[in-house]
Amino acid sequence: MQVFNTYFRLVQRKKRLILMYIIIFTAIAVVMMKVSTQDENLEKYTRRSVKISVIDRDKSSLSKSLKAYLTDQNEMVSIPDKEKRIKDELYWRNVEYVLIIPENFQQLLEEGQKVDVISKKIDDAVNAVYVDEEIKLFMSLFSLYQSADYSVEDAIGHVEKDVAHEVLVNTVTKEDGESAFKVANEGQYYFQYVPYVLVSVCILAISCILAMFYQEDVRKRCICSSMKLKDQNQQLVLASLLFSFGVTILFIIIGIVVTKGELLGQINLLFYSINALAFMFVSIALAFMLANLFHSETALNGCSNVFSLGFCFLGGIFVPLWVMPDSVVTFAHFVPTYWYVQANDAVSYMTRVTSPFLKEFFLNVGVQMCFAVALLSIGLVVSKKRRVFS
Amino acid sequence: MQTVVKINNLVKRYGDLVALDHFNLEIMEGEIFGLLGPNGSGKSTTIHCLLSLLEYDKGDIKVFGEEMKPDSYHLKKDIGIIMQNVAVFDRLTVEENIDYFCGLYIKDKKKKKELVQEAIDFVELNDFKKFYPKKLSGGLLRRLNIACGIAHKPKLIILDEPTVAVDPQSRNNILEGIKRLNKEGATIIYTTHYMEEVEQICTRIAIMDKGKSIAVGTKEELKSMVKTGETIQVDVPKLMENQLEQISKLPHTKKLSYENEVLHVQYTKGKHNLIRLLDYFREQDIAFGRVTSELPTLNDVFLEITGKELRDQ
Ligand SMILES: Nc1ncnc2c1ncn2[C@@H]1O[C@H](COP(=O)(O)OP(=O)(O)O)[C@@H](O)[C@H]1O
Ligand SMILES: [Mg+2]
Repeated sequence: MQVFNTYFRLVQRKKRLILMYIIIFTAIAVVMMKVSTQDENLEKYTRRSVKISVIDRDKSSLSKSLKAYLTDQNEMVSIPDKEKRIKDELYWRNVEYVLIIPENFQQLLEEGQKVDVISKKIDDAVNAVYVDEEIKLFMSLFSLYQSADYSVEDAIGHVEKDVAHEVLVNTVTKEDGESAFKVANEGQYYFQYVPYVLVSVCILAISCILAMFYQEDVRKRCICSSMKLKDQNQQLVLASLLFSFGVTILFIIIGIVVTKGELLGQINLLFYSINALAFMFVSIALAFMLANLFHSETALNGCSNVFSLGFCFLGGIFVPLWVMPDSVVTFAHFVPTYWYVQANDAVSYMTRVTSPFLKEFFLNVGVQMCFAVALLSIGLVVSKKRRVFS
Repeated sequence: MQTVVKINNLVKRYGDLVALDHFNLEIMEGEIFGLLGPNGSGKSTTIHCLLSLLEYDKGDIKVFGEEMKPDSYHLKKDIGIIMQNVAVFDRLTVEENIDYFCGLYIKDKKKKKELVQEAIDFVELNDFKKFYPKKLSGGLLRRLNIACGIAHKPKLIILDEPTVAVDPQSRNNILEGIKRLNKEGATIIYTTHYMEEVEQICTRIAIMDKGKSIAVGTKEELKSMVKTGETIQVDVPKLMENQLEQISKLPHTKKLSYENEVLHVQYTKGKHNLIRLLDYFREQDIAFGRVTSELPTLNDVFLEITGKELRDQ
């Protein structure tokens, strides 16, 4: 295990830098977590109902049911169906959220077509996400029953029962354990920042160390040695995996500690951790690719900043995406952190493991793994090219 | 004596450029074999092909009597390489670097430790064991580079221009080290574009140019192959044009020059050139000072075969 041992010897030489990053990160994550959960605390427990207006152009049983469900949860304001009026009412904050259900909504859905409701909200609608989630929940349950070949009326019936149950669950948790809801959100904020430090640490450690092994002259010497090249590479892979796994686990443990152990009993922790592990693979693959592209430590340190900050801004970690222009949001889909944040948000809203949740969660995790595979492939192609020496 | 390396009709192209053109080489056990050629003549390419670091277009290469392939690990275990660029980890100490490369060959921990210490003793880096490479001077760094290549006691040691940009004292130290390794039983392949180095240590030499081996032999054999004889250098305060003319007409004279009161005369092969020249001085009553005579150099050999200088290309 000569290569493996030397890898960790080199990790040791970098331990000060790595430790510094870990401490700074933990500090930032904890501060952000406290700040973010504090001013929303009250709203979260007894979530303030949103002033919502539902413009029902369909008038079907489905649209009516959806409207009724939202009315239950929020304060209903009625405004006329006129573009200008809707804008004015939003502008004057008379209403915070306007939902437009288009014509033939139910019929088109019945025919198996894809139709979306239209949501308009005020710019700083913090609570709008809850309405979004409520609509999402309602519609995903509906399509679930529909895909199970229920008639529309039956499907609506089931959905109504389910959402009533969902509300029940929410009220129960709210009453007998306010903390459950709160901790899930502390967890959300903490885990949201994990990609930042994973990308930084992986590039600073894994890329820099691999780059040392990949220096042309050192590599020549290693190839000429009597240890099989495959063994050498395997040891490098194993060491990289072990290192990043250790770091990820460390962050999960720090997460448990800073939320004072309250995450421990929750199923959410499992999903936060799975998501973090998925992102770990993205980080390793990125680190591997960069190690093949750049050989100087200075260049890699630069990469570490560019990628960790870039990923975090574009993926909606530092700034929520809904404040970004549409073009940025579209572009964000090409950034792995976007999918990480999607999954992370889904976990934070989850109170019960439902199949729509699982579907959404694993879709986002899956996309991250695709990113990992893509980055790894680029790295492999570059390393093949480099095998020919000049 | 056993053949250690045999290269047969090796052809290597980089696109349109033919870097090695039907190159042949045979190296016997116990030799210090010099591969001498100007920059770009294909020395490194030869070494890279020999080590299976490069694919080649034609020819075959045998090491220790067996075909050399990228996965010939049983052959690789007896080869040590030292390349032109220093190949070490900046973030490992001298000792750790040697240990790493030695450990790629030697599994046994105890044996490895002994070998590492021996290598450190050999290159005299005991005082610098815990130093990082960045803290070493150029000469010490080269010695570390060598120690990394030889710690596992290879039977065949390949050095590709290991003394580029090294001060004369370190260079001597390195050359003496190579001789010692050879005495301890290793066969050496040494590439360089400095003819003085091959003259100093090599038992046999191949001169390379444009991917071909243009002459092979001991330095004496190589020098006797060419027509160039010795060069005589005399300090003469005063010489007339017609006297120079007469000197150039003396037998075997090939070339002469007179500058800064120093006369250089180069001869083709022949006897009694010096006596004849000094006799002429006496005849003409020419005063002269210090006289030196030099045998032809490998540069003269290279010049005669290729029509160009070995150096300053
Ligand atoms: N990777 C490469 N691609 C293209 N040409 C190369 C490459 N490596 C070497 N050469 C060319 O091959 C010739 C021999 O180079 P090299 O073996 O490095 O010479 P030396 O080691 O004797 O200085 C030179 O003309 C050089 O420019
Ligand atoms: Mg060279």
